[in-house]
Amino acid sequence: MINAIVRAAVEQRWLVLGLMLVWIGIGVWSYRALPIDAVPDITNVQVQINTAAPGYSPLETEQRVTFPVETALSGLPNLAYTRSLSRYALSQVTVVFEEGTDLYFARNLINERLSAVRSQLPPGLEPEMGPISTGLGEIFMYAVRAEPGATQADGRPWDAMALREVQDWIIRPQLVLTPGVAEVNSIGGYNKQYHVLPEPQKLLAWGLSMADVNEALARNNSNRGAGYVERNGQQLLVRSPGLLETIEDIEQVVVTHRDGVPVLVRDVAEVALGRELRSGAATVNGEEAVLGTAMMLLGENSRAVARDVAERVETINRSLPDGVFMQPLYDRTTLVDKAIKTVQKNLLEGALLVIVVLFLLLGNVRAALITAAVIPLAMLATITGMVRTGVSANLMSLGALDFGLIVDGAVIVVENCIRRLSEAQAGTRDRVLALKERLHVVYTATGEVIRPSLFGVGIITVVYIPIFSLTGVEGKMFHPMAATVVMALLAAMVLSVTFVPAAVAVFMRGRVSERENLAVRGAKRIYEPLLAAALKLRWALVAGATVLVIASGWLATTLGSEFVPQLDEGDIAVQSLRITGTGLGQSLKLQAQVEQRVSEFPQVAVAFARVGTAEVATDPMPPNIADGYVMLKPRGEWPDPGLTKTELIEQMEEALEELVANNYEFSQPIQLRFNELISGVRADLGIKVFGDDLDQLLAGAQAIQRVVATIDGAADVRVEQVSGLPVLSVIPDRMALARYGVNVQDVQDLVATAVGGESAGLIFDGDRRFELVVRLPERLRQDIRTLENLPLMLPDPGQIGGEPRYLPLGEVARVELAPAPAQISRENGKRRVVVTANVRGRDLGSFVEDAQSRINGEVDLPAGYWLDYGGTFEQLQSASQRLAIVVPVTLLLILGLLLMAFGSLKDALIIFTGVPLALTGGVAMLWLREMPLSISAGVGFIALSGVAVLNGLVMLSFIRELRADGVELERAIRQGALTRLRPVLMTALVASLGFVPMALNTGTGAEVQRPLATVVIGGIVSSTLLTLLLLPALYRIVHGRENEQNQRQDDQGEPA
Amino acid sequence: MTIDRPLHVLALAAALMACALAAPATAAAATSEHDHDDGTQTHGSRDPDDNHDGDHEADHEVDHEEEGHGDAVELTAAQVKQAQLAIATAGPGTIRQTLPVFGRIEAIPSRTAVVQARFPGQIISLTPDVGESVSRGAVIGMVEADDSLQRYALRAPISGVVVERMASPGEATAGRSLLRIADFGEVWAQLAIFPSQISRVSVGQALTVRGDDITADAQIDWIAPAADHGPARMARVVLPNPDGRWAPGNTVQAEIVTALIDAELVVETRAIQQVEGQPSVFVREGNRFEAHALTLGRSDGRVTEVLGGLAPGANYVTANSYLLKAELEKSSASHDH
Repeated sequence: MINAIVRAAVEQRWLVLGLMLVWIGIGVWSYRALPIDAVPDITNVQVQINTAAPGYSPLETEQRVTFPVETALSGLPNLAYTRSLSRYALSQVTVVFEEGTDLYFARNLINERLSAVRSQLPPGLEPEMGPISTGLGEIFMYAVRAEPGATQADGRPWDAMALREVQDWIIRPQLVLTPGVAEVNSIGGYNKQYHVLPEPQKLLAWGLSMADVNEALARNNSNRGAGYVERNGQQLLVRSPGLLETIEDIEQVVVTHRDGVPVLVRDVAEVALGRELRSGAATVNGEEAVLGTAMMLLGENSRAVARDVAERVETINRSLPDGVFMQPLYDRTTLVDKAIKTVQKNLLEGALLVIVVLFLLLGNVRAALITAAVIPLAMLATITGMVRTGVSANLMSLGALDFGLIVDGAVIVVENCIRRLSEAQAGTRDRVLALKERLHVVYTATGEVIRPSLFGVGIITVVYIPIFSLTGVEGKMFHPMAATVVMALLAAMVLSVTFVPAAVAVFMRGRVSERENLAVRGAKRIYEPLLAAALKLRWALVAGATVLVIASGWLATTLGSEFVPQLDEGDIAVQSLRITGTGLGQSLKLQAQVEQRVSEFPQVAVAFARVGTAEVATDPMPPNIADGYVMLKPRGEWPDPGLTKTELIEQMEEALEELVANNYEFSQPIQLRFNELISGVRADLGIKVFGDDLDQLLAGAQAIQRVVATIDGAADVRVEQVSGLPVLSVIPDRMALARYGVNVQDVQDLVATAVGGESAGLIFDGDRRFELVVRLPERLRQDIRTLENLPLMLPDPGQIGGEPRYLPLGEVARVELAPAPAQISRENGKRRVVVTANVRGRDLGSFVEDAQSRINGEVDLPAGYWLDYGGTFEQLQSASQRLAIVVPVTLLLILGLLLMAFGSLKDALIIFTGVPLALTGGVAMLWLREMPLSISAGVGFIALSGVAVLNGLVMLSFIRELRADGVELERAIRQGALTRLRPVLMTALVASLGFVPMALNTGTGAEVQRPLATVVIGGIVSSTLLTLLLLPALYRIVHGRENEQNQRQDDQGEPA
Repeated sequence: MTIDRPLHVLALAAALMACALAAPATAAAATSEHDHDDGTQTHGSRDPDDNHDGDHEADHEVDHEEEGHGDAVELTAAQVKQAQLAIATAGPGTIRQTLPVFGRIEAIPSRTAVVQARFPGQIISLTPDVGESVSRGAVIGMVEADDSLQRYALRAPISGVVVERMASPGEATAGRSLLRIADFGEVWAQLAIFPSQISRVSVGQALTVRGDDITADAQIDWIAPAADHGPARMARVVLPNPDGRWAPGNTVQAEIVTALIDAELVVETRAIQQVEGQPSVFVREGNRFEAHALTLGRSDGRVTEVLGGLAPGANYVTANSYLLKAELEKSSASHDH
């Protein structure tokens, strides 16, 4: 069939070339739709459901909000699991779906369930789904700032509240319209509120309660429509405007009448612009600021969207009040551009090197160009494939592309065609080959090598299969890489049976002379004696190779290991953690110190941070945690450009250690976001205790902690922090309440209004709307003792005169300060507390078994409580189980392919020996460059196995052909090896040189590709050397014996 | 020879994959180790009776001393400066416990008088109008008695201000009250003392009364034995009111000094932090700050009596003591989702 295709391609060569134009067209068109990003998106399919519950403590949030929402979600199709957390004023339920679920479908399902659950939630609480975005979504951040000395229209200087107003009502509405932007999240400053701050003493004097004030405000703040009248044929609409607009308006509201005297709001309260009780704040270079984050819609092109946002920011800047401006802080474009530049540079340089090698070794420009043309064509096909399969272009997906590998198949075909053509040319002397002859030569020459070449490329493709068996984060990172490479190889495979022969047939006309150029001749001259020696010392060679393999196996174990080399995003994220219960104000002060210290570094362009939770709770942080971002200057502006980032981080860590009360975690912006989103148990072993009662859960967890800590190899055994939030409880005394005839709700209403404030409506200013809040003046709110003495108005207004109609709150309630749960975590609808442990110096599997049996024996959990084991060990177990099947199956598959190619198990096995030999070089190279083993390096080894097999295949198939023609064994080996020296060298050289730029590059993102390239280069060198020498030797050994047997049989047969 | 090769490849490939996959565990371990090395000397867990000081904690100096509960923070001089800690010396002090209450200004009954006609008759004249001051004995009107048709003078029984006028000339007195005169030179503040507060309040206690724009120091004069007005009993305070700024009917707030205790050892309340569930202060020795668990006595919100756990003369941290608590417990600070 392949032959038929090749024949057709050669005969219909112009058609094939014409089709290539279509191919190019589709590729170019696809390129425009290709999503480009820096790193692959490793977020799982998840939907966050946030419910803001102002004033609700963690326990109330869980009971009233989280539980109903969670319960409503159970039984969704494709649901993987739900987890939730209930904090002060926030309930967040994260619904994770099975991989591959359409997010919009999932959101639709959730929406349906949420509408059903709304009626069960306390009035006023509205569950909302998080923005349709992913971990890569935060593409643009900016600060809203005022120039020093600039003043607002009314002469006051710009403060955080005014800037937030600009952000909310001028910037956000414009920015959110940018195509591809899912959400613009704000943090920092204060939402402007109108505050009515009643003085308890004055209220008491008039016998009023805070609720009276609230009610009065609500009754005096509305517009009413009153239909229309017709007058003289004209219709007049009737309305009665009555909205409160200014502070003066609010002050004039009548609360009550006493002896004909109206009691106005201003008589009992102060009215002022005030600050909300916020749950998050932001700082820029140590000063309070307003931060905005543009979040990208799922599946958009981050580079394009970030660019559009940046442009929009420029436009918006012009519409801002004088003296106010937006300062871009973080722009994803920078990173993406840098990463893409790295990839481009690698690919371009790689391609150039490949072309040069082809030209040098083939000695024919046209042939070299035809081969090189495969590169862009395969690339375009790959891009088309990527767009079709939804793979985005990024460092990982493009990182393993080696044009050398891609052209390998084509190289073999072209090389053979040239050789045959020049041979045919030599046969015809001066006459130029006739078209028919030429076509025939091309067809037969292609046919000669097409099988091994296709099989070789096929095998390289097959070895990528194990990568597809990776799941979870590793899978998300490496699937695109494998997919891209496989697509590129498949495209190259198709091209090498269609385009390559067609192009050769079209363009290699005229006199094809093949000059064995200097390089090849020199190589042959060196190779010949070496080969002879190898054949002679074959046993020693085999022994030596075995030793080498074993030695490198040992060397591999001494290399360190790391997960995935971290992409250097060029910026730093410093998460500052403080103890639970730290207030936002204190946290801000500490954060300001951190930023001032960080800004002192000359390498730092700007440092900013988000403290606590933003308006849209995409990352629900408590106020004691701050996500700090440190934007670095370009390396050229550093005082010491040679300083590595790791060293810089160390210096920063050291400097920051001087600040008390902070813990730090250093990472990078995108990395940080991913960690937040994926979050699960990140330790080796996580033991989850499920149950109802928090104290019981904690006791159980602590018991487990004690047991696990005594197990050999246990390290960092911790119980999840759940408690420790100091809570001031106002506990109503039911006896006292009964005595005075007061309801619990009266007490609670008073506390809520006094401390938290009660909304009494909205104040409109055009589109802008601000809340009108009644609460105690700040100086009284701050004082716990005031709370006890707060007058609670008695319900019976019958008493008159000087008789008190009130009680101090302390009379009917007790105020207690006690730690309470800071956060309640649930998983799959049940409360849980996690005990985490890492394992050092011991095999994880046996540790987990040990832990399980010890816990079963020693920890007694009450009925209704159960355990679940999770953590990295789970992934490790499932991954090793999968790999234990997939890797051998893959190897068998390769062997099967080889068997198909040769029909001989022996030969297949001989070729197979190239794999361990190739690995030796890879390991040696890693060791030389002091690189650890990583998944990237592992992918390199996988690619390498393929190339090694291809090498052997090319060489062995020719030897076999010669043998089939009846050439004697030793001569066949020599002749075959020498003839095949050029293609073997060529495929090896192009494959390794194609990776050289990648191995040497130091640009952004190069660290991901470097190990891979290093492994492939080292491996190819060793595998080529050993293919050239060891393979013939092995062949000689194996088939030599066969020969002898045959001869013996012949000898025995003759006399009979 | 050729047979064992594929097996070897298999083993190596599997090993490679395993190495790569084991990496996340190592990475996670590295981060948590980082948490431990932050210069604090504290347990990896907050569990009070945790006794798993295994190898991994051997490198932390866990101080167990007799006094306090042994948690200490060691800071560098630069850190101390940066943290802006304020230091005070523990010593004797006065605890001034107060009770804020609300009350009303009332006229003193003995300082009001009602003018009536001694003999019924017709009012000839009644001079002072509401708001006019009269002095005791001054003639304020004339009445012609019905019986004798004699005119006699009405005199002011007390000095004061006319607050109410119920009659006019030409009317018959008919046993009515004609004028009400009140003397606001002194007024009462009636303070509502609720049952839960009554035990702390006694006659003679000093207090500060605050009106709308006036403040006065006074003493509790009398406490009503019965709770006639709702649940509260009234504590009476006499306030001099020469310029009339305490207007009867006004609501006032008062702060009663319920106890004035000379304690042997007090600390500033803001210095006290909860460390491992115990109220503690941080005592400075050089650049080492040790948490001392305290047994607390009475407090007035500003200073708190110390009954045990702290030696007099100890230098303890007042302002920003929270930072030390935060530093001490920071290894437990984490971001759990």
